[in-house]
Parts: sequence; C-alpha cells; structure tokens
Amino acid sequence: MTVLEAKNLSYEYSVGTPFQVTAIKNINLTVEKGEMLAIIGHTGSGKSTLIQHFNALFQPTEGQIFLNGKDINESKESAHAARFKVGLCFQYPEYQLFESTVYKDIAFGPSNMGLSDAEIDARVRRAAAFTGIRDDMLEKSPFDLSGGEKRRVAIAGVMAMEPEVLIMDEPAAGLDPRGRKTILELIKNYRETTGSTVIIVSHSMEDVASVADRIVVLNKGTVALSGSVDEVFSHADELVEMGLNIPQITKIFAELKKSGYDLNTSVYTSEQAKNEILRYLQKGGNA
Amino acid sequence: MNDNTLISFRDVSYRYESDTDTPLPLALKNINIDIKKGEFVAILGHNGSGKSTIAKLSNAIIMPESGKVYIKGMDTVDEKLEYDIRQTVGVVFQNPDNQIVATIVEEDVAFGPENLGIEPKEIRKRVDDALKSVGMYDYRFHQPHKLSGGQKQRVAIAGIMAMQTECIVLDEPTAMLDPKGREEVMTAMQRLNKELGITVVLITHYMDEAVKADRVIVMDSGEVVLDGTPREVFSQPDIIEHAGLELPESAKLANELRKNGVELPEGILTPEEFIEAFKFCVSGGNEK
Repeated sequence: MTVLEAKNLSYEYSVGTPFQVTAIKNINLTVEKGEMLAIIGHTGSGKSTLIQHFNALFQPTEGQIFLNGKDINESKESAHAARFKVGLCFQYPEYQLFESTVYKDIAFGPSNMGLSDAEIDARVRRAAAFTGIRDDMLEKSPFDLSGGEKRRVAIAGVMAMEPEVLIMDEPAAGLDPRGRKTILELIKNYRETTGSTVIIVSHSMEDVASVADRIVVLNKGTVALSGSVDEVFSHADELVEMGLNIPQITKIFAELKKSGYDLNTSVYTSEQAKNEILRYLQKGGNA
Repeated sequence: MNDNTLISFRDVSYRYESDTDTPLPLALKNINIDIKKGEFVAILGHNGSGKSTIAKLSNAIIMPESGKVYIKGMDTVDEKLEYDIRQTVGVVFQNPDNQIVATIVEEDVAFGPENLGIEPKEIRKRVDDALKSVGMYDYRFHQPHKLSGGQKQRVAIAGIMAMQTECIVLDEPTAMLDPKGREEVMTAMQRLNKELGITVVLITHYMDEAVKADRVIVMDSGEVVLDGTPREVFSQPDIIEHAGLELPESAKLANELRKNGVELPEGILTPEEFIEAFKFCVSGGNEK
C-alpha cells in the first residue's frame, strides 16, 4: 500500500528573480507502507528539497504530494496535519535542542498536538526507550550529554510525535563508528517494532546497504535510479559518475568477479563478504 | 624535541569550562605528541575522545590547563606569538558553510593573507597558486555558496594555504560530504603533503582515510592509546574496538576470514591488498 507519493514534483528557488534555480524536476516516486527507503545523491542533488515537501514545509512549484491518497497541500488544515503525520529529523538535529531538560525537549513535539498529559508522558517514555535514553537522563539538561546522546534525544523528539512516516536526514553523520552503529540499530528496531515507514537520506553507501529495503538515487534534481539495494548497487559506474559510489566491500567483489572468480557480488557488509568467500572456498573455488 | 618538530604536546591536559559548580572531567589527560615537518598524520577517536581539542590547542584557540603546546618551539600561551603561531598552523573545520566569508571564491581565499598585511601583488600570486593546488582555479570567479560541499571545503583549504602555513590541521573535513566530495578533499590533501611538503594533521571518523596517512594516532577518553603506521595501528583490533572504532573494511574481512582458517597474510588494509592476497591464496600460492 502506498503511503506517500510525489507526482510530477518540481521546485524552483527564488522564482521571478535573476537567481531562479530549479532544485528538483518532475519527480515521481511512491513510498510503501512499512518500508525503509533510502534516498541518496550528491550534495545539491535535491534530497533536502524533496524531503521538505513530504511534510508540507515546502509547497511544490509544480506537481503534488499525496499522503494516504490525499493531496497534503489541498488546504491549510491538511498541510498542518502533514507536519505531525510525517516526522522530519534534520541533519545534526542536536543543534536544535533548546529545552532545560531532556524530558521537555522530547515532549515539545507531542505537546503541540493537543494530546492529554498522560498520553504525552507515555509517548516521551516510549521514544526514550527506543533511543536508549535512560530514565535518569530525562531530568538532565540536554547540553550536559555527549554528542551521540544529544543526537538520540533529538531523534526521540521526532519519534514521540509517532509519525506514520519518519524521515531522517543523515542520521549518523559526524558520529564515530560505534555511534553510527547504535543509531542505525535503533532506527531498524523502531521500524520493526512500530511498523512505521522510514525514509533515510545518507551519503554513506555502507549505511544505506545495511538498513534499506529500497534505494532512490537523485542526480541533479531528478530520479536517476530506483530499486532494491541489489539493483541500485549493480550500477557501480553510473553511481560513481553521479558523485556516489558502492560500498567498499562490494567493490572488492566486483573486482574479483571481473578477474573471473565466480562470486556473488550482492555483498555489502564484511559479515556477508566472509560468508560468501567461505562458501566459495568450500565448493573448491578456483579462478 | 628536535629542529624537525613542528607541533609538540608536552604532558598536556585540558578541561572545558562547566556551566555548573561541578567541573567537567578532563578532555585531554597528560598527552604527549610530536608531529614532524612533512608528516601526514591521521587522528582517530570516538566522539568526545579529545580529537577536536587537539586541533584547537594546535593554533592557540585554547590553552592547556597544564603542560605545554609548542609550535616550532613557540609556546602557545605567549600572546605575542599568537600571530606567528596562526601563520604556522591553520585549521579547517567540519562545516564548510561556517568558514566562507566572501561572495566570490578568490576574495574568500584572499581574506587570510589580506589580514596579514601582505602586498596586493603577492596576494594575487598566492591566491592563484592556492586555488590551483586544490583544483579550484577555474572556479575563482564563482559564488562560494553555489559550490558543492567538496568544492567549498577545497576553497577553505586554499584560504589556509594562501596564508602559507606550514601545517594544516583538518577537523573532520569530510563529515558532511558525499563520496565524490570526500575523494576530492583527500586527493587535495595528499597532493599538498607530497608535492608541497605541507604537514597535514587529519582528524577523521573514516578508517579508510586514516589508511592513507603516514602515521595514525588513536585517542580514547582523552588519552593516546595507539601511535604508529596504519599497519601497526590496525594490527591491534582489540584496542581499536575498545576505543569505539573499527578496522578498515578490508582489514575487518581479512581478519574474519583468518579466524575461519583462511590463510591470508596479516596487515591487509586496502581493497587492492585484499584482492591480491585473495588471488594468491586461491591459486595455492602460484599466482602473483
């Protein structure tokens, strides 16, 4: 079932001035309920412009956005409702923390939704649990936390709105390897537990390969490729041309395959790679 | 410390100021690091391990709580030397948008040397040279905010180069960039180091960038836990893991395979090395 759809979507900045620029052109894409979709593309490819249309922060210059079959820009009310149904977590969201306690920061979103105090409290605690924020941290100032913890508080704030679709722009950027893994695990876990639809925007091909069901590739404001992880990463040369790449491990396998080794190249993590090589060696693989 | 030493940390400790009465823990604990002229050093460590603190101490943005930081022998606490220190070590930060000051690329690059009071003719030459060395000369009349992230970072690097600093410290310069932008910045840094002999200190979360350095320093909770060539450092998987880091992908794979009885040599770090070792292993040692 389609939850979100962009139809012939175009957006131009600074219309009617000499600085008019087309950021996205005629984009058509659908997001299925419950899927984990990754959007990748070079800097300036239109990713951020696109995702800000999904919760009506931007109004299209042309085309429409449908949420559960309804045009979100049909009325003021529908645009307002989209803000809560589609939760958007920006890049480096920890810079947007502002409350005096972690609890209040997470509660800020749900407090604006006309919910009862008991419901707000329940949501704050659920979101804190998803993001691994312990009870004793809730009364602390968010500014006393580490970088990785702040990031998780900011993400919890969006999760607490319990949006149907959660969109995250570069959720792991700037984190160390352990912090990256933690964030990706908690997103996966959130999706599996709640059945919510999740869209992540990322520059890391490794992260995308490890979490996504499907990938949409933007290039210069249009959809250049779209498909399963296997399909998209089988276009290595085109991806490189677009300023992207394939995971390092996948590159090794593509290279070995070219040299005549009969290996499966749909390999993205070192764990998958190890299993594939062991399989190959066991059947007495030779060049 | 000898004449070749450009940056020297002697028993340096540092603590950030707390908003409350309870002092924060030490961000750096008694660290000793010497960086020689011409070296390409990568500094790795988890968030909060003290990496950025090292960058800020290196050009007198902050001063040690105890111990000394010397830049070519100049003590960074000496205010009279601040100018000379910043002309020796330049810092490039993570977010390129926070470092661009002018509306035209070449004016942005000229900003540093102009503030040093350098002759206009000399500035012209330095700006052109700097833009050429980072591969951005063709963009000299462009507006910086319309460039890609990788291009903006290269303009920021050119701005430091135009001040002719002997050393550039980069604090996670590629964190916000796409794969191509990362590649561009890495290539520019390697060229500056190899061709112009500029000392480069690269603070990064990317293990595959650290592999390209001459030397890798690993920080954990404010202390130096490893310091050596990439091959030495990445042959200590337990310490790397404990520091919240991981091995480069190719090294991780080779390690896992060795644990499963596949005969691969130690010290594999790059995809090229892995491919070569794998071919050799499969051919039973007959193929090079």
